[in-house]
Amino acid sequence: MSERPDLKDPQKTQQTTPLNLHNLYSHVKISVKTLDKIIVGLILVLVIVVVYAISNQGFTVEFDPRGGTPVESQKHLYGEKIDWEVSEREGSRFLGWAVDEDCKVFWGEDQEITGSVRLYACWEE
Amino acid sequence: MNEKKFDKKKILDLLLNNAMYIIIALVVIYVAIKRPKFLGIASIINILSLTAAKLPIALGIAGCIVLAGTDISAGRIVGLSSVVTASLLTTTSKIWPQLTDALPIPVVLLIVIAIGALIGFVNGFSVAEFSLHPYIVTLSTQLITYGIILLYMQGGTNNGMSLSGMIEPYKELITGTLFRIGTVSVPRYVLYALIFTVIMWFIWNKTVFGKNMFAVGSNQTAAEVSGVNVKKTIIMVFMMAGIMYAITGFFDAARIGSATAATGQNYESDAISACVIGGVSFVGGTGKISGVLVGVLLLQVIFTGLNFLSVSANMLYIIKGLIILIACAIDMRKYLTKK
Repeated sequence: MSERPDLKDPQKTQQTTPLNLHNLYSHVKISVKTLDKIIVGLILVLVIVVVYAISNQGFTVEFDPRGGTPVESQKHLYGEKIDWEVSEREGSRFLGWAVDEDCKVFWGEDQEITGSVRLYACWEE
Repeated sequence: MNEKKFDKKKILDLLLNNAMYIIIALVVIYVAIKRPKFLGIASIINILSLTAAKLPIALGIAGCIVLAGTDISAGRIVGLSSVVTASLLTTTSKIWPQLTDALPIPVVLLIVIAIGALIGFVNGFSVAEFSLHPYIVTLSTQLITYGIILLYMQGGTNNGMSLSGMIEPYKELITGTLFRIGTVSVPRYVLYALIFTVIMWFIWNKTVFGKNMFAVGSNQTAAEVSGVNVKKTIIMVFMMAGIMYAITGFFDAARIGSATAATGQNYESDAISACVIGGVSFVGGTGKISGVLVGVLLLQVIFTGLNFLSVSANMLYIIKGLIILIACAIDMRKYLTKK
């Protein structure tokens, strides 16, 4: 026989129930009408944010010359190609721009931009 | 007059309950007009591939939400699985310099599954045994797992550098061509994701464990009275979720081509939003595998669309946060109107 919960003493009732996974909204005290207004408000905020994001569109391409002459960052739209620039460093030969610091994955001159990216200069001593 | 009022209320209910789908549809239409390439074969296959990559983690987390819980350690478990996979499936492992050859692929898969299951067990055991809220438990395991990832990445001669150079058979197994549509190839992990979806559908709908999971999510006390082993069910749901995260990580190392300490970061936020959009309710005991699939797909469609519009990643974070908030508010509305 399982022990019946003591309804007069809520503390005791809680102790007899070992687990306590309440649903997320069990303690929510809000009317549907108010919630409707909140949802409409949130949707409006989302629309404003999306419109702002679209009007300020553009991916940033940053260049880390790693000791070479600095190259200014560029802003491009999806599918565009970067304006190819070369950095210079004394005593080193510029091999190209790579997406990783280890220079394992190089960025091609004809490669299309699909997101913001930071490119690292690769050098041969 | 009364009928008109009733109709108005019905329309308002319909609009608000489906607000998320309406917003997504409007964004898709706008993107398709502005960038017709968005509806091209390459873009559609890209969306499907990304959906397949995110599906296992969402399927795992959905079980935790059905229990009226959550799991915010998911992304870090993906990361740990990813770095372990990348470090063991290479011929030049800097973390394990003594390894002269890559381990067999099935062995590595079993290792990462065991890791995912173990962390899932810790999550589930803490929730079930100590009655701790899943949010707190998984927050702590998230941090612990991240610490383990950072320590692991410092191992051997690696010094925290990203891991790459995995063996070709492994990359081929995950990202190899399943079939081609024109010149665009569909990767193999799309098929694996489909298989996992079918398996999870079977577990949720056709097994005693699946039915127990919904019973515990709906009403724990009632489930206990009916003879369901609540603790065991909770532990198993979290373990199953851990295994799904591990599989996501195993795919990701090959899919991305490298693994870093940041791999998997914030994956849980996408997975949770996808589940809520797909109708897996935080109320507990409600949700369908088809809903999870639709949720992941819709979220991927909207983010790929915004990417086509060159929306920066910084703005995407704000949009993601708002989507979660709206999806939760709609979920709450459904709960309140039912109540």
